[in-house]
Amino acid sequence: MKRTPEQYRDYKKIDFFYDEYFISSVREGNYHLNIFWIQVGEQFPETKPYMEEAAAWIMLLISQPVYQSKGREASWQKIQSQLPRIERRRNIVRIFKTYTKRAGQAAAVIILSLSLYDLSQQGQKTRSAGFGQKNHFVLPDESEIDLNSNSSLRYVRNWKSDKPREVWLKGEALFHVKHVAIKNRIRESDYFRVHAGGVVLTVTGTRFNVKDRRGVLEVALLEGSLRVEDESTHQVIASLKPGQSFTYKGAAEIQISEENDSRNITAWKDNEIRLNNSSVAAVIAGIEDNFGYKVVLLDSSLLNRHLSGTIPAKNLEDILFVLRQTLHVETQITGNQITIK
Amino acid sequence: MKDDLELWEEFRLGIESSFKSLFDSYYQQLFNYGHKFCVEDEVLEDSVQELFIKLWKNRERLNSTPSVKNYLFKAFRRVLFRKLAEQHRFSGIKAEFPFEIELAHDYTMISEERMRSLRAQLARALEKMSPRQREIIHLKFFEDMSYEEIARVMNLSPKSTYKLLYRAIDSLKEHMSPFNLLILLSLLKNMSN
Repeated sequence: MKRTPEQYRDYKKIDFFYDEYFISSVREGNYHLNIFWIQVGEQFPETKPYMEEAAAWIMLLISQPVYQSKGREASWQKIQSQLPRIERRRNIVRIFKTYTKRAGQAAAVIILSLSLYDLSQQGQKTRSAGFGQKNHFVLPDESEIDLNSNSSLRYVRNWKSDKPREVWLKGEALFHVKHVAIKNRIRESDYFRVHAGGVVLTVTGTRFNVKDRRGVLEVALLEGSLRVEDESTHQVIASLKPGQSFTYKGAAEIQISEENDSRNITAWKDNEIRLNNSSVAAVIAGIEDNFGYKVVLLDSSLLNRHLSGTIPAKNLEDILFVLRQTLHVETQITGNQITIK
Repeated sequence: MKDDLELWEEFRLGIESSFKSLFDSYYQQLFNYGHKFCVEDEVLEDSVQELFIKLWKNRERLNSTPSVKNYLFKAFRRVLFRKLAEQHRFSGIKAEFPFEIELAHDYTMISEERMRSLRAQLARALEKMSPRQREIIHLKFFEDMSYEEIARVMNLSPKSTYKLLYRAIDSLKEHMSPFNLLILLSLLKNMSN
């Protein structure tokens, strides 16, 4: 809006005193020389004394004496003398902050891993070995497990309670169970139980191999004693002595045999296949079970051939090499399939 | 010559010479403003020093500011008030922080007598105001601050700042010269011109 002298026609002293434009005119110096206020004064002479008095008031306020302090340099020197100390502290604080920030992050990671560890210890834990791999590990009770290829062991980590230690096996594993019982005082919590292939194996401290492949469960006891129960009926099926093997294909087919050489049982752990007049079919089954290949035998008559001896079985090629040499066949790997001809 | 905002930015980066320049340009202003609240130089010195030491300490956390003066006045006022509050606690006085305006002594555009009379009027009017009203008048006229700036310094909303100033101005009306006298004076002055 354009400023006009008419707007100021009825202005009194207080109105001028309060008028932003008037204040700034007075502030700038001499409002008497401002053409606009001259016009206002000429058109409305009665405003002139008001303007004058308002201007005086404004000037009285604007021109207040400034309270002088002579202490500026001294004051600055006091401030300046503090600056190095402040800088030092700032640096310390900065380092501390960085440190605590990092420490905080580290702590967070540690706490997270601890809680994850706790969680994993509370819940179920599964250890496994893929095709062509083996897995050696120690359970929380210090029992040692060797897991063969294509196998897994699941367990619940609440072994601190008075319940027996329990594991669930798929595939093949060699157990070396730590004996935890105090002599002659066996409690429930001193038992170690393996669930596999529809049976429960109960031991205290022993070494044994469990193999659950193709619906056939084979248990070979190396040391100590082992009790076999039916998982659903809890009936005791067998009780093994060291050197005995137990084969189970359901309740109808139970067989206990003697195995004199424990090395035949644990050979797989040492990457060997021990053949003691074993059928080619058993070798092929082992290849399929442990390496995950489908084996096609073009000449099915070979299945009934029997082999003896020890085959290095660190990798598939070792086994195939032996088969080629002993059976005079050719082997061909195509994708997931091995053809023997 | 660098302006305040440049100096402020440089100070925030930790340049001591810029910090010193800010101190030099505002020391007197802050001291003068503080003197309206408190006549003890020592308290004012301490407050200014405390303010600047704090600024240096916290410089990285400070924001850029549209008005350095506004920022410093506000911060200084806060420091000073805390010091005064401490004093009050010791002395047991629970009073509003005072604010005294000292009007200019001589202003030669009009006659000495008239000036004296106007000055007395204004002084009386100011005396009747509350300390905070006087502070507004001072910030408005002497420090040439806008409402927004006054509001920021005094930690008030712009609306209540406006109200406070309006009431202050209103109270001035009571102390105006009688209308007739003004006319008379004006006529006299015009004749003398």
